[in-house]
Amino acid sequence: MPGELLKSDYILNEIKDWRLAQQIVEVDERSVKLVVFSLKKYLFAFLGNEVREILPADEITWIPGATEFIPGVINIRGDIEAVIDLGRVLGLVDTDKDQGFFIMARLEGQSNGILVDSIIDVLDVPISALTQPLLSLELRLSQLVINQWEYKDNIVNVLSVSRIFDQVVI
Amino acid sequence: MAAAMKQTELQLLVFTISGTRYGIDVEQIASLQNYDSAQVILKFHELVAAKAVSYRTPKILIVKNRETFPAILINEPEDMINILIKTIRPLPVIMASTANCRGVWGVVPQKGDLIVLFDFYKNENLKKYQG
Repeated sequence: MPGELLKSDYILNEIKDWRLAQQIVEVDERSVKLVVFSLKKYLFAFLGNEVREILPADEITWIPGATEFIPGVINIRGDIEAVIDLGRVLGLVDTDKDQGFFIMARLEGQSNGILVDSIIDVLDVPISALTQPLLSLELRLSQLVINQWEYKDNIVNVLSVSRIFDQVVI
Repeated sequence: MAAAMKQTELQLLVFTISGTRYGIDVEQIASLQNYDSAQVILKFHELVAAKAVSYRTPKILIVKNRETFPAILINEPEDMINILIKTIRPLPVIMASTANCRGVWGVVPQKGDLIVLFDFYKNENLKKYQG
């Protein structure tokens, strides 16, 4: 019947659950925290230790010196921080709609907000599950991706905060 | 310079251009005059590379100690305020360099809004007028 789970699908789901349980049991394996988010139809992640906090997107104030990649600043409890439009950095057009969160990324005393669509998950991932980025990645993306990881049958590109900061600064 | 370091307050002339509020240290202002279309002027939005805008309440600002600078067209100031120096926030490092070239040196959060601090003497577009 349409919509009914086939036996083979049922078995595959069982295998998936079993593998997931195995991952959880392997407590001794070194892991890394990832903040997974979406931008347009793609999934990306930052390393958890590079993320200070996540805030709902609010009004961005344009100031002279703003660029295509840095549309302005925001006031976070009295501190003025720049906003990076990651969609534009990655060349994903029409990114000024539906963006719901600032991921406040920190690096060597600098903290900037990175504009993303939505937060998907925050989780610990075994380091062994991270793979080197494919050589076939588009050039702009390949300059920012440090690892890839499979999450619910989707490829997640793990991005380097330091490379993003380097890319947008003039 | 020592006197400036001891200063705890700054008096700002505040005006809005293209939806952005700017604050100028009143010590940089020689005078504020009515707009005269015959006068050679520079429009403020051109100094900061903001979007082109129409000046509904035009005024002419003359910069102090820079006789070679052209007169600057601004909108009529909405306020003259005193701010505490300690309320000034530096610009994010990632954009400080480009903002500085345009004369922007800090930001003051005020009543849920931001006042962008502008220094005529730092603005690259105006430096070419220096004698």
